[in-house]
Amino acid sequence: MIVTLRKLSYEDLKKKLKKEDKIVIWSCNNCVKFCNGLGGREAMARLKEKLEKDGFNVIHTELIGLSCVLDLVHLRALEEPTKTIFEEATVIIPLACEDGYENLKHVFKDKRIIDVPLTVGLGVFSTEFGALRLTVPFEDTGIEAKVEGIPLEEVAKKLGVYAGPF
Amino acid sequence: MGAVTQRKPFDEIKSHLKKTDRIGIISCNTCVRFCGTGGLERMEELASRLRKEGYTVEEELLVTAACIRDYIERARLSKGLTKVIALTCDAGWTSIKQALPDVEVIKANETLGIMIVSPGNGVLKLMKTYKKYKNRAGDEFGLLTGEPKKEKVLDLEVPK
Repeated sequence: MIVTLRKLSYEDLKKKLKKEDKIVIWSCNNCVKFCNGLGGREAMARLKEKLEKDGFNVIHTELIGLSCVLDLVHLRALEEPTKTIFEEATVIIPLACEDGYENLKHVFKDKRIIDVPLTVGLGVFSTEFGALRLTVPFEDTGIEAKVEGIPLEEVAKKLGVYAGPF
Repeated sequence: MGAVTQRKPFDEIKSHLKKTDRIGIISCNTCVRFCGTGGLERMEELASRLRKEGYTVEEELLVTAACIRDYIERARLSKGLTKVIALTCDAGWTSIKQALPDVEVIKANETLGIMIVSPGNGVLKLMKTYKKYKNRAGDEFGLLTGEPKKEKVLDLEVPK
């Protein structure tokens, strides 16, 4: 399973948005849901509520089975009811891995796609841990691979980024 | 979706095995199936090949996602397996190692990095890679076969 953290705090995210923006929150419903709840329906709803409370205009939340499947992302742009919504949007906040982010940039070229995800490698989920742990980090993280895995909070702390939902 | 994998040579897998071993094969049925490196057919093919060469393959297990350790732990595998071959990505391999700490777990695949998939084009594209495969970022492979594609069809930006 792909392990993804987020580069931005909620305050950092707000700085990248304008009050006149028409915001779509996009979430993958696969790996990122296991990444301490970075993505998924609940994470989207929570972020929408926070942004609206702070006066931002969230026009839509879109949950997709797999953001790394390019064809599924294309369908959102090509077919109703999402086609019209995405035409109206000015910015998309991706709760997805870096693959999902690249797909969004590719499909929605005229939108601002906020650079949220930092994908740090592959990991293992277990109900014993109650969470996903990083076991096969990308070497550029400087983190050593461990069979038993490393909790995502610890990885985030080492890298100076964030784990879990906004 | 997950990891891009490539098969290790059969002889390399065999070099870890003895004729006296009681062997289990565990295959993931997600990313590796897309890469042609796992799934039911690949697992049956490997088991059959090993049996023909006189090895004892005692157990074959197909799991939805090997990186979810609970699937392995709850599978009630035969007791007394001496080797397990992981038809998985490296995350699946670590998951099996965690679940079966007393058994030697052999990697059947190399993990290159993570992928974008396009079923409509019949391809998957290697995006962010592990260091060893950095020069292969952007390579494309046949979906379900893993066959390297000579011509690229997905015009996507690949992270440096």
